Amino acid sequence: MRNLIRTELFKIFKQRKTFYAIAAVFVLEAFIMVSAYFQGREFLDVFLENLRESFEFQGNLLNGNLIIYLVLNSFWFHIPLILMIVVSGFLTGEYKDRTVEAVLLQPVSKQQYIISKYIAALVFTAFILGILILSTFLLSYLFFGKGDLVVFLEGLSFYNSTEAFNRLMIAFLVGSLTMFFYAVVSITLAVLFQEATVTWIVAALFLIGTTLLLRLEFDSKWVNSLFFPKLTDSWQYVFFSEIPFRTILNKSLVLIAYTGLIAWIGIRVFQKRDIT
Amino acid sequence: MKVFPLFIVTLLGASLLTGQEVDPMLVAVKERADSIVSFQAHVQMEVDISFVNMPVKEAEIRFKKGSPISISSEDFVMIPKRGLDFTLNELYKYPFMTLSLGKVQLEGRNCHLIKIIPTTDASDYSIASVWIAPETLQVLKTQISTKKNGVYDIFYNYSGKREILPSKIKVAFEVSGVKIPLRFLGRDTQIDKGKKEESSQERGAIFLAIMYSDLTRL
Repeated sequence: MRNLIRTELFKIFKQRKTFYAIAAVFVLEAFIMVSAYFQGREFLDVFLENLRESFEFQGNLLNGNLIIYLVLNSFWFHIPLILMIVVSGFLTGEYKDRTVEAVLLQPVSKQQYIISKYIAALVFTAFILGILILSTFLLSYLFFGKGDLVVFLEGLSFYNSTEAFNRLMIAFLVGSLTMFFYAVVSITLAVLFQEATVTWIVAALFLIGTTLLLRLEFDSKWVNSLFFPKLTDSWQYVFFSEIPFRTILNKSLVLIAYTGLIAWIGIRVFQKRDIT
Repeated sequence: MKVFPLFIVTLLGASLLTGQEVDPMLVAVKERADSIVSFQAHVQMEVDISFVNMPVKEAEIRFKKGSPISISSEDFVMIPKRGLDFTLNELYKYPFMTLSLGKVQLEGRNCHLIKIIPTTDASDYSIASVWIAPETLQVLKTQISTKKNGVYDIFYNYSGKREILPSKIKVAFEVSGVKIPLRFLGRDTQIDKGKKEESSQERGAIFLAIMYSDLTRL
């Protein structure tokens, strides 16, 4: 099993699309930073316009912490989209090249093979997130410096630099669970649809559907706490003035359970399906 | 001929108004404040606005007679546009007349209430009221109706009866709700238009605790 995972990782890091994914992360970061550099102040002025009538501000809110927060907001759509497209390709590419059959002709069980795919997908996701987190913090602080973070959630919340750093780190870690969920979903979709283009389209639709459903408010507390689209926003709770750790923990545990369930469905389907 | 006495009365009234002296108690308060040459202070600021959540901020302020107060802080701080003028120099910046409303009560204390009315359009406030404790000549409250930024109510507390400068200040003001650019809205941000209209204008306050150092007097 360990050798299988190692082989999968070797394949992933030999593929060109892996580096496209890394490049996409950097392009996204660069885009956010350049936009913030040119439009950030104007944006903050609109944001704080009414307070400016009563106050004069001292200090810089357009700083590295705000940039990191803006990059973190790409967890809503952009980063999951990049991950789903690239990760699903790990399996659809093998279907296309018929290397699945070649691998399964070896003394490798279907179960071991597909589990290794899931684990490799998770490792790859962790690797991309690691690059994203490291580069975002380094570049943001390098180019924009440190300072207080302002966010709008139930009003305007200001956090000093140290607290902002801690909250951003926790948010990235909590948000990573959502990214792992999407990575697992994309492998399962690849198992179900096999063909690359179809899988990408379904993955994109899944992502769009999830983000749209997240906005819907249901009367039922159970639906709001157990329906999977409602679990993908836990990282945002880290920016409430009082962090609701219990809610974040509950949501994260349910999301982990969903991740496991979706992987299990993918493994079962893959095991039962004939590889032709 | 009936117009003549009216003309005389009007002329006399006008001359009385223009020649009206500044209330002696306000003059005494100003003289005490003018004795401050310079000071440095450490300020803690606590914001109380319903839609703003901000930790207590700290700043250093420096005052030198004849220059505006300078404020420095390592953090982002929101400085109220009124309230840091401890010597009330901003009120005396342009020509003004005063109107004494005599003795009044302010939170159980006997005070002298004086209205300050600028006599030039250059002033950025239309009227200010000053509550003065007559026995200590300390300003207990000012209410400043600005031309652009609404009404400020500023309450002063002193660490002793002889102190000229306040140790605690509460600045209450009108504030409008924030405008949120749509692209900044998080998934959990709800926009309740009715609620927003109701709370579009509300009262906020900022509390200042001031610790002075290097206070120099004449």
